[in-house]
Amino acid sequence: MIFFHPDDHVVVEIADETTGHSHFEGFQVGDQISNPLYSVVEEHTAALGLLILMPLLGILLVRLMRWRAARGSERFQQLLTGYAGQSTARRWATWAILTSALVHLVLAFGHEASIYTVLYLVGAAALFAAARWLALGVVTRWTTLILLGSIVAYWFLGAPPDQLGVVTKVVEMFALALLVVPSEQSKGRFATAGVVVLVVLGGLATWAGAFASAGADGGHHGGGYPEPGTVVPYLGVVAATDAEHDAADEMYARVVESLAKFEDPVVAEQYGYSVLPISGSSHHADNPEFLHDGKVLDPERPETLVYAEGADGPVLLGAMFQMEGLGTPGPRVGGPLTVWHSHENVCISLVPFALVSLLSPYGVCPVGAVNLPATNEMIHAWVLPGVEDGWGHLDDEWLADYLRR
Amino acid sequence: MRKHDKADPGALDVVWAIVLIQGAITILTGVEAVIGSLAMGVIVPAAPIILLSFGGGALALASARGIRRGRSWARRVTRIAEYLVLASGILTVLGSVLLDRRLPGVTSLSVSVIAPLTVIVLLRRNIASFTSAPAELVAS
Repeated sequence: MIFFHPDDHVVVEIADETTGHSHFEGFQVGDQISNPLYSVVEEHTAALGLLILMPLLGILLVRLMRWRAARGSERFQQLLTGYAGQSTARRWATWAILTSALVHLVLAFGHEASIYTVLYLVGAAALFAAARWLALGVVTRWTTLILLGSIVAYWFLGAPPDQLGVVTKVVEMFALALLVVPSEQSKGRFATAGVVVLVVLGGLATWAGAFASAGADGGHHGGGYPEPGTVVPYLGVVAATDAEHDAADEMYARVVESLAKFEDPVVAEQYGYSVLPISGSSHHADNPEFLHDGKVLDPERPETLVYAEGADGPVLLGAMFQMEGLGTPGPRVGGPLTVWHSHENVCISLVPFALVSLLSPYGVCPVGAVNLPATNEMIHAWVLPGVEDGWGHLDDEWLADYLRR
Repeated sequence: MRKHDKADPGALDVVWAIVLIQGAITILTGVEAVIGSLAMGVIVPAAPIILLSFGGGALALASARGIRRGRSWARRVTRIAEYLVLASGILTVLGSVLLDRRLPGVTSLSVSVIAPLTVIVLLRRNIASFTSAPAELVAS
């Protein structure tokens, strides 16, 4: 479900009406709000800072350990001696695990006290122990199990996933790969396949977590985020006035009347829309001339028509109005009833030109596609008879039923 | 010859791990493209991208294996691929800064900029570890 309508969860109660702060950490009324998948939630910024400063911290840590060892600390002498005798792979793995441990430790104190605080502390302690064992040259199955546990726990407890969580899991998977570097043929195949499966499953689990955060249960950072890839303005609790209801209804009626002629895709072609061939249940047909005509929300000149393949041929679903240029807000003629949205991090195939997916949680597009970090604002008007919300979200199940009739 | 002074054959294990994860991520993007294009009804136009992603991922996994065995072809393929990933990463950074006025996510920076730079540097320092002949023959 895409949340850009006052009936949906993006419009939530404001915890403190005097300041306008909402339960979305860091968001205020008027801000653009998106799914945390491509950003870092406010409570994680300190840990992100630590991650960025880790090379510097690493140098300071080594110097501190040498200083303590020089003053007779046996513990640090043991650690330094053990570390010096390790292979390159084990040394890199030690630092990767130590980085993850420190991130977990900072996260424990970055959140309000809850069961997650305990989980972060347990995770940090286990990872510190694993890093120490590695530095001392004691490699046990526990080291691998701790890493596996930390990675898999995130699949179930990490919602909503954000960039800090994902990059920390990449660091842990890197450490795990270094621990299982193959030394013989059979083990090599097993280790390679294991890491690949873990990375792929981790990506899919991250998607599941990101979409779950757009539903009723948003994990430990609250629910009701927009779907991944969708950006909406944060409105707070806003009730439409009678005037806004009237304006929205009037504009909607004009759109329905104007779009009637486009039920036949051939007519749409004659008006300059790139309609054919129609495929799928959300075929967007642009009109190159209308995209750059300077007109805004003109019912006679919608920038895009939306069709679907129906049982008896193409079905006109509605229109999509677009703003020209990035960052230009669309006019909310019906106030909170007509909220525009934009998209972020969509992957575009250039040959042939098509939107193929969203940016992977790991931050890359498929080979041969490029990332479009932001789009212009847009709003849909759905003109199907019986549609529940003409300006809002078109329910997938409702549409599927409609198309089967 | 100076760069060989820092040669550390163990560093190839690090390269193996990075390229392995890059290959797995590339395969994942293929899976994501399948799911995304099916949902949007554009599976046919997306087919070349999907094939490229699965093919690229498989090539990365094969290269990772070749690198650990000291194969020259794997080093060459990986080097070219990493330069391409780096170029795409730099484009992503530029696109994000110019269009969205912010840096891309930390994962994008890590996977598309830091990882390829690390691999390129490690391969360059350890060029002496590669051979065009099978490693076991060289060893004997």
